[in-house]
Amino acid sequence: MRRTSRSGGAYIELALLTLVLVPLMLGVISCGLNMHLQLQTVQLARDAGHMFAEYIDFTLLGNQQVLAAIGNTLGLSTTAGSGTAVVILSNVRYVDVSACTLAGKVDAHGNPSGCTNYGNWVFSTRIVIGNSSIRSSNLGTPPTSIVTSNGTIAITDQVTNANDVASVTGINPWNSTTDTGLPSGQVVYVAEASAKGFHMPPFSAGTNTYAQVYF
Amino acid sequence: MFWKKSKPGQRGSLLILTTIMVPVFLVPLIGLGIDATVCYIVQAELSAAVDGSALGAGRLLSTSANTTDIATEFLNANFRVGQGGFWGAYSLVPTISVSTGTTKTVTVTATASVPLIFMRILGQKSAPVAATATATRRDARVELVIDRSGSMNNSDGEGSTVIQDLVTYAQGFTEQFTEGYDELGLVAFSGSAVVGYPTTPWPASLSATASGGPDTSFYSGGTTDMVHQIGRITAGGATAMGDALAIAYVELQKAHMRDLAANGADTRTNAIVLFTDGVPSSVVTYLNRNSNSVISGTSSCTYPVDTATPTNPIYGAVFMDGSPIYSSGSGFYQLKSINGSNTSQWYMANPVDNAGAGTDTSPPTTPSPAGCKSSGWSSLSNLSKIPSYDKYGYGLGPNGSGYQLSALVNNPNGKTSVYNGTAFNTSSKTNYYQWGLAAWDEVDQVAQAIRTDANYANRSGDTSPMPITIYTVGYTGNGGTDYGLLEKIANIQGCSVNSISCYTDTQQAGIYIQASNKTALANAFSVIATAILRLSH
Repeated sequence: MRRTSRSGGAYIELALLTLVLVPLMLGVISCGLNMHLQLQTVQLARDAGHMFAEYIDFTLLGNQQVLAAIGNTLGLSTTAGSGTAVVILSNVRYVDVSACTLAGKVDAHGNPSGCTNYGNWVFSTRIVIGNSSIRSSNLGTPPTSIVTSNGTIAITDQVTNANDVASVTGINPWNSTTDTGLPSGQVVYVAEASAKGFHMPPFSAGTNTYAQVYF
Repeated sequence: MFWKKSKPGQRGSLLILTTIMVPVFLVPLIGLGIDATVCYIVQAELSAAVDGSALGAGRLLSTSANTTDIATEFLNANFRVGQGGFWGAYSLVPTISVSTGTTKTVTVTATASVPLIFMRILGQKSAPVAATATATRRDARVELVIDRSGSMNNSDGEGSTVIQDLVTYAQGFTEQFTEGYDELGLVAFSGSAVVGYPTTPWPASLSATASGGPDTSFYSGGTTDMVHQIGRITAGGATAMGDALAIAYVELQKAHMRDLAANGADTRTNAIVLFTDGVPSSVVTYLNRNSNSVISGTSSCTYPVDTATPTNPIYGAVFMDGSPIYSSGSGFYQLKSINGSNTSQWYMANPVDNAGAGTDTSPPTTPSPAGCKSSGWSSLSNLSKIPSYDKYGYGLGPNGSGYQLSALVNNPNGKTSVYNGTAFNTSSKTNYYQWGLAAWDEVDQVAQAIRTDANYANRSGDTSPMPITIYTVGYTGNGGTDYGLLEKIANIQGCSVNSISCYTDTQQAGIYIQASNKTALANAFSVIATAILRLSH
């Protein structure tokens, strides 16, 4: 009896330690996995944006497949609505007098007329690859009805469609007084990536990862 | 056996040991791991941020943008200090340097501090992270040379025709350059070549005041800008590759002389981008050239020998039919004028095989026989031999490096070369195989003249040769192309075809991209635009 009692003490020690060590280990694992996912998401956004800014056409399946291979471990798929990741590519421009003129929305004096998005950032291109239900863009979402099959948005929609307005922070439009900001007519390339986070309650809530890069 | 009995004094020591080990060793160790990972993530985010900043500002290097300002804006937009997702990183310090010249460079370096969660217990409250990226861009002068031969009307297998794809990607290519800063021009060719942009009348003169040559208004939004002109292009006819390259060379020289006169210097990078879906099947020549007329004395041609200064030149485009190795052809056609109602816009929409490049066209074919026959075309029996030069004076043989390097891809006749072992012979004037060899050699010799800027000595007032790089794109889905010839034209570094070197290290080395489908074609233009602008880091 005495020997049995002594052996049980070790089990009790082990049980007590397990109560501490196992949660610690699970917490570390879930934290590490989420960090790894975040790191991959940053890399995916960076690679996607890099190629997008160097004029790679991501409306073509072949190029989407290249991106899907890069985001494979995050579950990026070329099939809309499938997978566990999404890449959102946008071109945004600032609607100034030149943009209004390009759309023919100026009066006889060259002032904006009917150019309702004047003074706003708007989308000129939107391409979504992967599962769009994972996350929507931080910049906003132009109506699908105005986005053409090659991802572009007509200049008329850019300057008049209120739903095409984008939320851009950090980049300023051209200021002719200080000669700073984004020159008229130029666009900003924005790549966003998001993936489903690691889900293991109570250690990890499965919050989606996200990264955004302006090029 | 594995569970060793504890000695009485050691019982409970595991619990004590672990109680000490967990806070003293395990938690700090895990903390160190987490802190290191956080630093690694922030480092990756900062790298992405400076990448975006450098490339974003790099794209705008040739615009009115204040590079330092716009690079800082991109950096701050990418690395939002104090906002979620950046692990509390603070003290973002950018250092931006810009160099100007032919190749403009922007270098963005940034440092930030990352607050540490666990290591602060040991007195280390933060860790620095840093990242650097460099982007370069060059002011460019580009002549886009587009093949609009009949085979371009073939389906791409994905719902549109190859010419429709090409128009889309060529327009996209054009839009990647900066209006007002870069200079772009367009040449379209089928059985002969015409200048598509600019649309001004085309003299071959290279004087600083000569109209034409790539300009900075290629994307002005006007109905005759380059984007609109590309949009008008339709396909039909043969493939006068050599004629197109020769005209592209003239165009680049015009712009060079114009800029030289205006600025006293010309530092742009010069490029010719040649797209083709086939192989040469037309040679444009000056048949009654004063010193080298090949019009036979027994022909019915009115002007068998032209004056030293062209007065009644007979410019003939000789067409070969089918695919190599050629066995038939259509004789020669005199070039038509581009003037009057046949404007550059009209020629983009109407692929006339024997379009003249400008005012320097043949005498009218009527009244008969002002040319050689009233129908507008003539049999090769009017000739005494295959001429030694093309319309612009480039040799048609017997150099041989063009056709001996021939390496056909997807040839419908199952041939791997246009050369069957029978050497070039100028006296075989009615033999279309021989005309094929002449066409290959012409292309090779024009390309070599371009890469060496062979006309430099003839440009009065010029002080240094123009380095010109040729980029080639071969689409293989329309009955094949010739990668040996296209690699030779581009002067691919280290290239060797048929055990013959096709690279000369003293000349500009370009890029050859072989595209077998729509996606590859789109990417080819992207890669070349990036290469020309040196938009990289």
